[in-house]
Amino acid sequence: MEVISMLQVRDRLSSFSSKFKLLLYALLFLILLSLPMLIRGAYYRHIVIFTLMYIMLAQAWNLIGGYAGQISLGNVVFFGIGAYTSTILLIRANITPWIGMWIGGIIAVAVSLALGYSVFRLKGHYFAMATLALGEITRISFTNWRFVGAAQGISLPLHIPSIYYMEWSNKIPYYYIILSMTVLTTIFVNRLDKSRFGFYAKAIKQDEIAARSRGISAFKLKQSAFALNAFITALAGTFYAQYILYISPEANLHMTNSILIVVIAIIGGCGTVLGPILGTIFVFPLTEFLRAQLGGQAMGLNYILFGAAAIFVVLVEPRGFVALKDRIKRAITLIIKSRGGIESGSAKG
Amino acid sequence: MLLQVIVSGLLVGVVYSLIAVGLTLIWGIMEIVNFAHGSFLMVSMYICYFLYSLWGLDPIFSMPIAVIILFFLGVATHKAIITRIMDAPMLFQIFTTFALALLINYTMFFIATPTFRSVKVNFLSGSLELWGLYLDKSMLMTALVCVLAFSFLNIFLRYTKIGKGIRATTDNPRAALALGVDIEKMYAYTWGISLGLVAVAGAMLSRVLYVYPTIGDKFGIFAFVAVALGGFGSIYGALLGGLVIGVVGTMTGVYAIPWMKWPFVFAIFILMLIYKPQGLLGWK
Repeated sequence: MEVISMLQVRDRLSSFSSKFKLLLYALLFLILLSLPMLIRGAYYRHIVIFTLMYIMLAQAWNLIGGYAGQISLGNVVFFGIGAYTSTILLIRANITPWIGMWIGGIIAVAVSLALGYSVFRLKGHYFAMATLALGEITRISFTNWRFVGAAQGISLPLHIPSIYYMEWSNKIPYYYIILSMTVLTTIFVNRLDKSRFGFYAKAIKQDEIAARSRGISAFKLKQSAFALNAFITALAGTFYAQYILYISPEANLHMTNSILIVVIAIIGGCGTVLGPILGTIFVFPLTEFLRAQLGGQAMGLNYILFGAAAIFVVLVEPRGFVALKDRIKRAITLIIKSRGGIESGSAKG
Repeated sequence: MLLQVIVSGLLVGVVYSLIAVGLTLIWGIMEIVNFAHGSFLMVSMYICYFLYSLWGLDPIFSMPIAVIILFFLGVATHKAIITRIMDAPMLFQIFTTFALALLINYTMFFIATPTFRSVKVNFLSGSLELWGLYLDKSMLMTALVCVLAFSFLNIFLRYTKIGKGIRATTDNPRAALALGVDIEKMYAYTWGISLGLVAVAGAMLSRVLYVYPTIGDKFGIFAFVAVALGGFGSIYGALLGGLVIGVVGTMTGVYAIPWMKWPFVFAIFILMLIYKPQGLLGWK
């Protein structure tokens, strides 16, 4: 009896899937480029823009949380640094946000390195708690700090729509900016995943002591992951400030923003490139929908759902949504295998 | 004036200490940091508030009810969630307890709305003068109850069978198991006791502070900082850390700008991590 071997199945699957993947990417690319033409309402465009922004944020968090295995509960700090730096530079010195965003990014990196320096030699919960505390401190300080607008926040002055001020009257330019930022971030994380960084990260996650004895510096890896995370998050912060044109401690520095990013990444599956994307597409529109449907009460309900879903994911399938892909793959393999088996069997008979 | 500030700081600090002790007990026995610790504090405050608004009960008298409820809540949390993540990577342990905090906070947000509530009691209020120091009677009472709870805990751990079991499991779980200690039970008791202590602190705090769904977060962070200052796993360390935070916080509040209290305590925390990460009284 001639039964198709596991290897052949894999060959068939991979040649099929590589062609399929190419087609899928091309299709996805076209859809993403033409999305503003497909979606007309300003509200829906807004949701699409925010979904992309959260993919970018979750992807950044993925570097520190997923790859370096350190839970950052204070990403909102970097987001805030990005938003506030470019805004203040624009208002006080008339510097374009295109330059301001890089300065914000550099400040965010400096803060992340300083914090990382003090906690990365210690166990993971120090880092989680330190980032959480840093977030709260930043919020309290900014609420009381006159120079940055205190509790009122800052409204960005309206300019004549232009590239210099990164201000437009409709949403389409914003869409393409955030689209390119998100795609670049994703490509970047994908490259990192396949680079030495990705392998080191996986080695450290499996056994830190063994990895360190082979000469891999866990400290350096965590530092660089955290710095990259800070930088990307700060860029997204500048985008947010230019898009919404209003920033305040209560809206942008609140802990719930950090939590949303973490929940998205974990539910989607951290440590993979696809996870944050799946997580955001699943979680964020749902949040928006709940908010639109239920109004003020939903604020609480959202987070009850997040908490429950997150605990559920950790207890049942810690790999998150991404694990679904493996399960589907396994199912397809099984189907092909059984079909191949039957065919060869019947040919003989 | 300085003495006044220090004494006021110590009175607040004792409360931080009691919350921190719960955190350090759990860490000591199973190496898990309970990020939902502050949320349980908030739950205890709300229990006292609800009992007050229903029957006008002073939180001092509703405290036993809160302690019993939270004891069982602790055991239930351990059985339902913590046993399943005991062997998981630290990333998931942190995330799970944090998600639990989220769940508790916002369930309370949903039930009680974010309105600031307060318990108004006449019993033991106002201030009293003692050797030239002005002390708030409620705060004094709070500190006193916390010290009492702390002493009870000490006696309990030292002389009772369960207390000895908990200490043995903390020292070496496998040896304890070999000697016939039911360590699974000890874990559950530790969770119950830890949250029971939090309930005491919460009940007393509900007399002096406003009650709202996210009040626990601040205390959770302070408790963690206290534990880190004192050294993880050390009970006296937690006590010391709480007192230090209380005094430092009050001093910055009085001598500098009130909102600087947070950044200042945090700065001490970071400096401590850099120069003496094992804490003041840490083991390792």
